[in-house]
Formats: sequence, structure tokens, C-alpha cells
Amino acid sequence: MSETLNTTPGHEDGAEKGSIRVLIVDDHGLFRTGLRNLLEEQGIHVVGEAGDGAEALGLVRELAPEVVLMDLNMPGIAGVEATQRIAREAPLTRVLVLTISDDDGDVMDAILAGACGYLLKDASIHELVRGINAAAVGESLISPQIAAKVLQRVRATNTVPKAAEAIRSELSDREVDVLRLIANGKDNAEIARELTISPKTVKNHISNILVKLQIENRIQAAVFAVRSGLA
Amino acid sequence: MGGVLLDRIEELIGTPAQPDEVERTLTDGYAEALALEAERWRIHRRIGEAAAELEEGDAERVRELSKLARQLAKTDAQLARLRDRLAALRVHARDLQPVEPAQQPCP
Repeated sequence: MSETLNTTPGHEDGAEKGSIRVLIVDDHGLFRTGLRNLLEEQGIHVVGEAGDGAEALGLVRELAPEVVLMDLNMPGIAGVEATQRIAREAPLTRVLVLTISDDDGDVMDAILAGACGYLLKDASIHELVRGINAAAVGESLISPQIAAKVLQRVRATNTVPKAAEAIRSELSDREVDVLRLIANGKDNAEIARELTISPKTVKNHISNILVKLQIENRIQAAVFAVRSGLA
Repeated sequence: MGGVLLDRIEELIGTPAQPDEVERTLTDGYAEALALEAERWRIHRRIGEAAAELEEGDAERVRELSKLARQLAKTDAQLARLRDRLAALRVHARDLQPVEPAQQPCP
């Protein structure tokens, strides 16, 4: 589990040499090795590997990676619990789930535990690098199908009056508009167009929403909005 | 690529196997796919380097490029075949999942 920095050519999707520090968490040794080799080929700095959730927590404390690639099904502390604890103990570290499960329940549990993205292990290297880049800057990379599944599941449950109350008391009218559009699946550019504001302003509004509602990412914001009955 | 892995995948697709076994095999398969992808990148990079070093009449370099091109084609074919069979196993794995009972209205 040594630290390496590989600066090879052929980087994909803007990954810069050693720019993003990644920890790989998976109980399958060969998968970890293959993933590490491939990511290092793309110029991503893999700072360590862990075989289960407990080891991951220790390495997050020790190495402070920017992104953790987290498997879900592991012995001991599994992925969802590890994600929850990382979100609580190291809020600057983003967790991107990388699993073979596309089960609705697993997706939902991971997102609500604080994962900022969810990718399947059959994702291409391009998707993986895009996901890591997005996670590193605090954005969510969840396929629209998976996001739709999550929100559909939330819509099927009862609304939570407390969430609606928090939105009314904490957010400005403009922030509520932005939140509603997030929950309707719009990206920043679409929100900017719809509200006739700049994408940078949209980004600022989203940062404020996350801080005020004490949530971690945009998909959680969408879940919050749906639960409140806003969208 | 391990023919053993492909044989195992075909065997699992053809039988009502245990979900745990399918999951283990899928992960083995994705690990193998990652190794093949890394190999593709290495060959690509070497082709670029060899092409940049190529000078007129450099028969040795031409032979190397030809060999690399064959290796790349072989790796591409292996990767495509593996991904195809893994996708088939995924579909099989979905079929193994228990179907949730339809929701009944409250009495």
C-alpha cells in the first residue's frame, strides 16, 4: 500500500499529472491492482489501497486523499458505513462508490450516506476519470438513470414537514428556485439559462444551499427538496 | 486473457448459480478487463514512442511497430469479448435477483 506518483502520458479528460489524490477501497486485490495501474496510466495519483472499511478509515486519516473509490460489499465495515464515517470525520474527502450493484436500495443507501457519485465497475476508464475529476471538485457524478431512480424512490415516501420548514426558513427565494431546478434534474448550465443568471452565480447559490441545509452534495440537495415536497 | 475465466462465465450463465459466485466472477472479470485496458494504454504509448523514433530504413523499428499493432488488435479483441460476456453475466445476475412481491392495497 505504498505511495506512488506516476507521471505517464496519455491522460484522459483533463486529469493532470498527480493532481488528484485517490484512495482505492475494495476487498478484491486483483481489482485494486488493475484499477491502480490503469489510473496511474492516466496520471492519477493513487496514494493508497484498502481492503475493507476499517482500513479505509485509517488511511483516510493518515493520507487525507481527495477522492475515495469505495466498493460497497466488503467484509467488516462495509462501504455504506465507511462512507458515512468518512463524510463525518473527513468532510473534505469525497467518496465515489464503485460497485457491481445497480440495486436501487444500494444506490440510495450510498447517496444518503454521503457518497457524491455512484459508478458501476463496468464503467469505462473515461467515465471513471470523469467521475474522479467531478468528485475532486465536489460535484456529483451519478448517471441520470440512477439519479432518477433515487428521486423516484424518495417521491414514493411521505414528505417530511421539517425539511420544508428548513427550506422556508433558511433559503432565499432565489436559492429555493435553484434547489427546485436541481431536484428536476437540471445541470448548472440549464439552471443558469432558466433563471437568466451566470453559471458561476448558480454555483455560488448551490454552495450556499449545501451550507445552509448542512448537506454534502447536489444529489442530497435534490433528495432534500423532494422530501420537503418542493419538487 | 485467462480462458479459465471465460469458461467460468459461460458456465455461470448456463446454470442457476449462486449470486455470491456470480458476484465474485464479475469482479474477477472486471479486474481482468482493467488489466487489459492498462495493457492497451501501454501498447498505445509504445507505438507512439516507436513511431516518433522511426527513421527511413529502420527495419527493426518497423518490425517492432508491426508487432505492437498485432498485440493491440489482439488485446482489443480480448477486451471486447470479455466485456461482452461480462455484460451477459450481469443480465443473468439480474435474473437471479428475487422479485419483490407486488404492493397490495391496505385492507
